[in-house]
Amino acid sequence: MSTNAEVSADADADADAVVCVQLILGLVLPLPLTLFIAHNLYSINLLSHPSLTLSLISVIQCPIVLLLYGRLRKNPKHCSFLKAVGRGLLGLPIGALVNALGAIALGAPVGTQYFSQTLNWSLMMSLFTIVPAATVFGSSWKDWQRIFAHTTPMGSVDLIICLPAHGAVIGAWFGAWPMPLDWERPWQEWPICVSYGAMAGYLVAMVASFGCVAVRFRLQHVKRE
Amino acid sequence: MERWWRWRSGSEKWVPWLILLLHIVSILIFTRGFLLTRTELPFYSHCSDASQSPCFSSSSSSNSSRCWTKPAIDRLVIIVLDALRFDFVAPSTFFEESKPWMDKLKVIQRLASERGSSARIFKAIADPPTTSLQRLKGLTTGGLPTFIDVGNSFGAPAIVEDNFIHQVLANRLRVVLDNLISETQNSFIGGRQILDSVLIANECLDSSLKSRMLSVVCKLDIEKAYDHVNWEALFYLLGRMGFGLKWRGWIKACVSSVHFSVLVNGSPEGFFGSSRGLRQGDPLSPLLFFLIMEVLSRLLKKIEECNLIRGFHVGVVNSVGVRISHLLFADDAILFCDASRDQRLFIRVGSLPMKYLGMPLGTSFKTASIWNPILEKMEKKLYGWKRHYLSKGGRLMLLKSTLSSLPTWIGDNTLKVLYPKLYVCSAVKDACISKVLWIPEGGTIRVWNLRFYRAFKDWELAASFSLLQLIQTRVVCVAVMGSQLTTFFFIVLLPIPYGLLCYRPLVFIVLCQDWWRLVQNGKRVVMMGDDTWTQLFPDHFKKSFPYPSFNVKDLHTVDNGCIDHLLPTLYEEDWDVLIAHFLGVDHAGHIFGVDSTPMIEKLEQYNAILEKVIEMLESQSGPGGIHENTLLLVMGDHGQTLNGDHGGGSPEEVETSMFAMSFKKPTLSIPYEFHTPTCEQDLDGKKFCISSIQQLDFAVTMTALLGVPFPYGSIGRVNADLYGLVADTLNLEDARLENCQNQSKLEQWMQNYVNVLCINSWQVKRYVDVYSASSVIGFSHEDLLQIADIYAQAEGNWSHTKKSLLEKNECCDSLPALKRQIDLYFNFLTSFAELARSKWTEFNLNMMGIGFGIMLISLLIHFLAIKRVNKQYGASFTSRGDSGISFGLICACFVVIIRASSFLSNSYILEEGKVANFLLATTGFVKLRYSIMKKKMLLEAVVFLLLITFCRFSIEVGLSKQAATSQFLNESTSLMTSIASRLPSWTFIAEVVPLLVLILLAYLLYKTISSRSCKGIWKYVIMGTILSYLLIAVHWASESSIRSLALVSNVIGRNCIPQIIYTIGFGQLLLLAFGWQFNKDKVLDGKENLVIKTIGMLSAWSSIVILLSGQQGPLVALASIIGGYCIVRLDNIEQDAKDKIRDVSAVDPLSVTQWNLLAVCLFFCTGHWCAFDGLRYGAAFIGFDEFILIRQAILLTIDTFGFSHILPIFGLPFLVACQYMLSQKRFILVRLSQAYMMYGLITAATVTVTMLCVTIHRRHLMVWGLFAPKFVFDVVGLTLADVLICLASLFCFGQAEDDVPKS
Repeated sequence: MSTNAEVSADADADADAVVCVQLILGLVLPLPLTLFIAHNLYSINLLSHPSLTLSLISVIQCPIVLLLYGRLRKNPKHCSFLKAVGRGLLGLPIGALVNALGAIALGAPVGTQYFSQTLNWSLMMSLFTIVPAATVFGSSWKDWQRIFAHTTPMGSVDLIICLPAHGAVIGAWFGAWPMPLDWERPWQEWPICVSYGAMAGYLVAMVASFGCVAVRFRLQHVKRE
Repeated sequence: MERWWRWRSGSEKWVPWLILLLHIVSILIFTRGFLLTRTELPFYSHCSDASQSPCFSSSSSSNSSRCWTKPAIDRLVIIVLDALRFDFVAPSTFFEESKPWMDKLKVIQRLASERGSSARIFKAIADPPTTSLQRLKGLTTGGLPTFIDVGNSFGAPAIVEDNFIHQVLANRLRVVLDNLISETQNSFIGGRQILDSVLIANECLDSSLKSRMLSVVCKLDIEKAYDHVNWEALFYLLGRMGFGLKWRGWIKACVSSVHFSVLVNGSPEGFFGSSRGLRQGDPLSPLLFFLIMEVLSRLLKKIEECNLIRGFHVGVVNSVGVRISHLLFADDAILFCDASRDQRLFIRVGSLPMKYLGMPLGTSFKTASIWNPILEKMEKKLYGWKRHYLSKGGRLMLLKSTLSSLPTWIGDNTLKVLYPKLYVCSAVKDACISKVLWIPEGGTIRVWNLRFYRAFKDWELAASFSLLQLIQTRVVCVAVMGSQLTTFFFIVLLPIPYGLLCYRPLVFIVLCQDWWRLVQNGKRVVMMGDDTWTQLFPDHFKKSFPYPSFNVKDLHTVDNGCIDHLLPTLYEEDWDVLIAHFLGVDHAGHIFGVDSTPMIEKLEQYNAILEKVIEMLESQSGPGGIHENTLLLVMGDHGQTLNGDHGGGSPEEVETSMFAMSFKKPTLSIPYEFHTPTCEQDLDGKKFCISSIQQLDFAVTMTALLGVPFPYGSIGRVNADLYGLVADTLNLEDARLENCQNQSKLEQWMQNYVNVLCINSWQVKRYVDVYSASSVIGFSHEDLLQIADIYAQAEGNWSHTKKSLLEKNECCDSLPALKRQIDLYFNFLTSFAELARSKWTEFNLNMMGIGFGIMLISLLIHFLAIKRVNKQYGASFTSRGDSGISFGLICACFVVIIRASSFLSNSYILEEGKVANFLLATTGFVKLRYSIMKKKMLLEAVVFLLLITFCRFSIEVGLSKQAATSQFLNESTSLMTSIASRLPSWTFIAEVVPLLVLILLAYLLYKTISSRSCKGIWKYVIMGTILSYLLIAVHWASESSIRSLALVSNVIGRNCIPQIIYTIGFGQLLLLAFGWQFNKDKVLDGKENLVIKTIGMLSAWSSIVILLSGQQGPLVALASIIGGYCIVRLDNIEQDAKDKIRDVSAVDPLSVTQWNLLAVCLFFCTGHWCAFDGLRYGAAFIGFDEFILIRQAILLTIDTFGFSHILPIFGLPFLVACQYMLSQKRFILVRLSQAYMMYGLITAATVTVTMLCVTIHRRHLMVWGLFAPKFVFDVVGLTLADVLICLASLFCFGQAEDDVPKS
């Protein structure tokens, strides 16, 4: 029995890992792709039209995130795919609010002229951080706490939520550092360099989590053999 | 156990003191090496000062208005080409190889080569830092770069020291005054003369007598008029007359910077200030005094308008005439009104004729003989003038220059042609000035008497006025050019129509003294180009065409602006000094480097412009042309490296060039005897010489040429080559010269130059003396003695030489003596300049290194001490001595290191408040994460973040204030009031909210004393604070603008309540310091005791700090209480959650870091920033009106560092005391000392990096503007923090030692 369960667990893990790999590819690629499209198709970029570009990223990223993470939802038996997507969607504005408040506490400029930038930036951050967790875990406080407070991911799914979210936040934090410098470059404006930082952190963390998942997968196979 | 405890507590106690000592030593050493301090003296040179110098003979010293040197040029054109390298101007033969950028300014080289005697290229050597701002400052003041302008308002960009522009500057007050002062005031205003008053007064009396009406003439004599001027009234008046704030500030500075010194046994003994009155002899004083008198005039006018009095009716023809009620001449006032019963005053009754302004008044209008005494007086004066003042040579000179320039009535027919109508009616047709003015040997003076046989007709009036004006201007020319006489009278007898109605022969006197003033002060400056000038000299220019200098990529805006305005302005006559500042070369260098096409294009462009300018000046330089006596200067303010950088002290940056050209050919060329010029063959193979000049010498040479006083703080010397270029420096004026007619021209020039050097040396010596008497960091005694010695030697030699020259009557062999004298003066001036350079401009890197090293050592000791305490503590109280590297420690180190390293960048220093807030918020998020992890105190974490957000916004308000300069600062001190100024409804909230918060704070304290086991002195201390709070509330309410709140009348006085609060606070502190000795009976456990003590201490300080901070005080206090509470609570979650045994091993460094960051944020929240204009000077005067340095400095310190240093450090015990598990006293105390050491270490670490930063950036553009103030603030903050930590540990441990033996 026990071996059976183990095998099924392993099979689950394998399936998870496969999905994860898909997901990583599905998430890593769109981001540069979006920037590329924005630049060539609409001839806008983060520098010239920050809020438009950010909203474009959000628009493209949102369905991908929701769909891919929806497949990884916890307790798939009790929770339909649609429900997962639904709570992910619900998480989007809440996450945006949390991110925006955090940014303001850290010193993001406030004012009507910054409203759309801050809104679009926080929507994007929400897609990077809160939405995946909301889609996968729903309102399970324990999981949230595990991922965001204790930072002790268990399993590939946790890894793939935890690492990119932290990566994005830390990237954004570091991205804010050049802002006060008097180089007078256009990218030093809010939220451009912060967005770049967040995206870079997100991508790096994605790749790192890919590596972690791969290693875990390998280890499990070795163990099984 | 007890002994061990004693030993240990003893070992802890010395640590803070040792650290304090180390820090102070390190700071002192570092500061001595780094802070190049030069006090800016608030003194200005005046024309009359020169009479104190030994350089004038006794007979001429009585003439007050003789200025320092004789003006040699009329107009000055300064074209500044920013960052002009020396090799841009000098011929390429001077350098090893020819580079593409050389020989582009061909016109300069051509002129310098063709006219060596009137045009010359100089190598100008600047003093680092070679930034435009510092250089312009140096060029105009003739001083070295200043670090802290201790004397005047701190950190203001405008130059407040005495400078070239100031001396040259148009006396704009005088220009405006003509329009401000009513026509009844007649003295010193342009176009009005002393005689006008007398004439009008006579006219008034006459017409009154004619009309045979009873009338009153009242002559007012104002007692000690100048000394009784009330400053407040003056400034109010200036404001009401529409003078700007800045202008009033200057006037205030001028008036209130008066210091007196009493000569005791011949040496000045200290200085004391004054609180009212104007200085006599200051050119500004009469003008200000008229403003005061204007009030009287206006009042009288008002009375007249109300028909209370009626003035005299003058010049009545067909019942149309002028009404005159009063006349003023400076402080002489005379009133005219008709006599009626109610206008009778009980004063001494005089009788006519009387004297008014030294002239007879009210004699019979028919007798012409009444003027005889006056004429006699004049003749006497002129006779005396001849005897005393004018030597034979001087007289000859005067006559020659006068007669050649003044057109004669006949002779060459000029006047006759110019004024044919007047000539027709002149009584003496052959009046010839040259004949009349000739002063025969021993004969009497004759007056050029243009008598007219009849009174003028109306149509002749214009011509007669124009003739008068011509005579006036010519006389001025004589006065300026011809002699060192200051006052002489030129008498013309002619019938002047007055009031267009009555005629009579009048005496017409030109008071040259007044004209002197006009000429001397009337210089007008026009500026175009770089807008730095307008920052440095706001409102100094008659006209200015500033262009933004900020955008380095823009090569053309400034230059094109200059070019557009330069030539048209040159054709105008309404300026005396023109400054055109081109920036193209500087910008081209910054962007493209020196070896680039844009640079060469720029140079070629300049060449073309200079050619045009010189051509234009040349065409106007003939006799009578507007540029007859103009000096052209083309100069760089500093050089640049090949990459276009400048700012440092390398030869490429320091060496720049200057081209000077005089358009009047000098009669002799001054040989290169005073220096060794570098001569090379130029491109055409001719000999080409280049002189050199220190930039330091620029200001003094220019002022000498223009004939205005040298800037007070100038330490340069008059450059012989530049001075000698100008023709008119060769003019005889000295009394001795009459004895040797055959003296060579060179000798005459040298004698003149020696005189100038004499004044120059005297001025430098005066500056040295006054500087070392008034400056805190002066020169060393030996240096001063040596300088004084050299000066005495030079001076002694000069008086000796003079005497021998006078006695021998043959000065033809005086050349060697003069040369020797020049050398002596050079020696003095050079040695002082060297001394000043070494003191003021050179950083002492060794000292800085030693200071920094000691600082590092102190950090190490600090660190080891913390380690040691940790270890002891761990070893004795826990089984594991593991002080393990926790996450908190890493986080704390990370935050501190990031904050410290951010100081290496100037932009981060500017945004320091924001950065600190960012880091604080980050730690807040870390704590939030903890609290989510532990699932408790979520509320505190969120409240903490909200608080940080609040802080953030108030910091931004502070930063915007910083950007909006200090003007904003004066008006509103807090966020609340700044909002309130816009919305009336806000005013009420802004007034009420602080009061409510204050009451809330008082309530909190009340709760504390009622709930805690609070006894004895603590209770009294806290009660005292509550009382103070109530008093503060009453104070603010009484000061508030809202009626309903102003319940308490002002009878109590603004100053009374603050003084009571200070007294209470002081009493509380005394009680806390000594009171515990009387309070030993109570037995509290350590924790409670510590909490009560801390509350007592904080509450004692808080009332003073809140009062000083103004209305934002209670809000900030509340914010800091909430912040502190949150930090303490959040500290507990981690402690609590961790393994109990391990957690006692150390105070959580993250919490201490947070505490420190919160303190930094509070500094910026309260509207301070690290610059001297960020100090809130208003706080120093809460409760006091007078300025007493120490008292006000203490108040200012408390205001500046109250919320950021005093309260946080005294509040730190909370962090230790409010933890759950520890109640044993010794644990607490050990942890407390640990916390204090950590706090000290964090502060010291940031200061160390600041020191490193200023060392790296010591040659940075912003070093005086940004890094040095930051350094000063940090250093003062660190010392204060150390002292406070020591005091706090004394306070907290003091009782412990007593208590421990009992326990």
